[in-house]
Amino acid sequence: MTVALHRKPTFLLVLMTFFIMIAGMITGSSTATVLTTGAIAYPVLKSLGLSKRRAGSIIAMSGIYGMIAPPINLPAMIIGQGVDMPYIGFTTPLLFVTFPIAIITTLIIGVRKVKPVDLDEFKKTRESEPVKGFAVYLPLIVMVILMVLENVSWGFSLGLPLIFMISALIAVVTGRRGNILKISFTAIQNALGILSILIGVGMFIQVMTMNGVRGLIVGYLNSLPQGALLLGIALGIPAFGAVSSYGSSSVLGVPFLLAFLGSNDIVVCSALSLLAGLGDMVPPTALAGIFAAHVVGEKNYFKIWLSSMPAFFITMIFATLTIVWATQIGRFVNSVFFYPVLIGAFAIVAVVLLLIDKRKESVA
Amino acid sequence: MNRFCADLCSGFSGTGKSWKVIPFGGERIGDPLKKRYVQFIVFISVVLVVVLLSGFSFTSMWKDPPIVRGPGVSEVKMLSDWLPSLSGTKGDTEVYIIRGSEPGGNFLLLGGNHPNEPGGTLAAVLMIENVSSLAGTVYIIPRANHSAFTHNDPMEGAPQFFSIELPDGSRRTFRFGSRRTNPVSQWPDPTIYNHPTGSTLGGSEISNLNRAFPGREDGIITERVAAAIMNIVKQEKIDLVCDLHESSPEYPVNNAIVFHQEAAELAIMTQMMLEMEGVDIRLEESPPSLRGLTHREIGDNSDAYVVLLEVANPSQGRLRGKTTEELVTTGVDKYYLQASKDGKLFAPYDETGYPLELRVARHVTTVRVLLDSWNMMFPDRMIMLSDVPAYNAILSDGLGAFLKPVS
Repeated sequence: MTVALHRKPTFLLVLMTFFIMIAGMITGSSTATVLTTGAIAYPVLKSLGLSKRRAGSIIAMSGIYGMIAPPINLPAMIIGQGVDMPYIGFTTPLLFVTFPIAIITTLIIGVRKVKPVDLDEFKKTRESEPVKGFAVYLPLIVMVILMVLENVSWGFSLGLPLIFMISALIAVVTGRRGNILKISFTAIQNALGILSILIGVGMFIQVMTMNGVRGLIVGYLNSLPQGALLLGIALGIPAFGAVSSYGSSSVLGVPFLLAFLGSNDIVVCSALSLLAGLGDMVPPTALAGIFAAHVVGEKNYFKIWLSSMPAFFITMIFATLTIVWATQIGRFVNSVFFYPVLIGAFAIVAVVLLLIDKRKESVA
Repeated sequence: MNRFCADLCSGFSGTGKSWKVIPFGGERIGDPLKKRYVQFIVFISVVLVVVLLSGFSFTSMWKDPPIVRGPGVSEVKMLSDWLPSLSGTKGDTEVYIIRGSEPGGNFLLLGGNHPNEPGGTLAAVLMIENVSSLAGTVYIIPRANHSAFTHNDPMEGAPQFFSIELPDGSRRTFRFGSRRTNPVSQWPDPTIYNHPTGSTLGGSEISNLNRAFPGREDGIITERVAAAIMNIVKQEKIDLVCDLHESSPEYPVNNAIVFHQEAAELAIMTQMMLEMEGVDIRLEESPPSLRGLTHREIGDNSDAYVVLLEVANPSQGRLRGKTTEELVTTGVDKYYLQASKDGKLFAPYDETGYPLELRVARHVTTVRVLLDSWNMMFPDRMIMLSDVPAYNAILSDGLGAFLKPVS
């Protein structure tokens, strides 16, 4: 794909965004997305001339959009469970809240920096890799297949820990030879930082719940007048997502959905799930940002975090406006016009991107 | 061994043939090894103490508080009697059987489907310890998801136990469990749960008994518990099933009877009779698309009439303040009071809170009226109980008056 589209960098950039999102769409996890399709996409993003910061930003944000995009959206499922709303009819609202914003934010982050791929350089980079060909991707492919099987077939469940273990064992065979014991120790060392953050945050929430601070925050946000409530939702859900996007969905998503009952509940739930997903970019956990930093080799994940801020806030505003106009959006996404309009819009965007690339090429 | 300890104390770096040791706390490569051993031993000792204390606290919930056999209980069986593969697992639990002096219908009462909803468990216990049957047979499972009683939800700050004072001054202690099966019994959860009926749920719901029906005999623990309960319904020819729950006051389905469509007439009659007794209750029909719940799956997969009862419980809600044993028993919470004033709740709420006595009284009374309605509709399959604790008596005398002292 890179070779075929090397002269169309903007178009390729958007395609790579969609490619990264795929893993999230089928696994429901931004972390898994960043570590799988994100890791595969990074060399291409790099060859497009993007810095580590920008590439990491695109990978992290695409991981979040992928996690929210249909068919698998865990925050929406969790919020729905809280009000006994079945996970049915979410496809079009989730398409609406993810793909357009993914295109827009990717372009904001990368459109001015991408340049045509230097094919010779790209091929040289590929040739210098210690392991070549299909084998290098085998662990990732096995992992995605096992996760998809788990998500689509009833009765098949290995669990994420075993799936990652199997994939790691395959990597031992297919990847560059190394000392397994040493690699394991290094992996545990790397994981300890994130584990200690998660444990600390869990203890923090436990104490906050026991002493009533959690109730105070949820109650306060929930009692705000309509305008302030929207602001509370826009800031509160991602902020609480710093603890866990799933926890945020359960603790804040459910009461906020109840606060908007009577509007289009599925659209509101979809928008709330997008806000909850943004929590994966909020420190201290910021799982999507931290893992994206690992993938691109950036030591300070705050650089990626800062680079993602415009996309983060645009997404936040978009999700909030979706809640405000949930009824009208609900009518649109459930109408017969939705798919034709969506396909038409994609076609127009593709043409515009190709025109931008043509202009870039002529300028060059 | 020395090398191993040193590595544990420190770490590895580099890609050379030899392992480069980087001690904790930065570049202190010149530190004597002995000092690191001391750090290592102190650190491991502290970890061991914390782990041991946490372990004792965690396993303190593994012992079942006693339930006293009331005068009407004829037999106590185990759930594994209907599904032997449950034997010896944390999913196995007691089934109390109250046989009537006259033949009649068969009634299954479920408590503790969600052990963080103590009103349902307590109502089932009150029935076991007090009622007798004049006609028909009653099967009561007070701890339906037994495994979920053996832990409570992380990050919910809930108390592990709560107790109720008896008239003789002694106390009966009960567990405030979890909505989900203990991960010791069943782990890990998948990312999403594909219910056998084709419905898609969040992965954690695979350990929620009230999403696991109709269950699978060869499935994981929660599914096997659901399958065993289904076996009771089918093998014992159960006519009527009632599943006791509680819900947070901000949840729309509150103080309600949720009924399978086949049980609509029965539910309507029960509501009318309850209204005459001054107990307000809503009716909610079981949504066909919401799968895995007792009222949907037992109703669809058997001949039984199925209802589920909900009553407001502030101690499980998301708006609650300080989460204590007192909140569980009194239901008094200032944040819920404020939310009520703001019109955010679906249950009436004032300064008196939602005490456990009221929640249990509502459940027990609804079950009594449900059976009265049943008897009017199906006189050939009567289920007549005696000594059912009265609504006002529970409120005035307290729950302790209807709980037997444990010898």
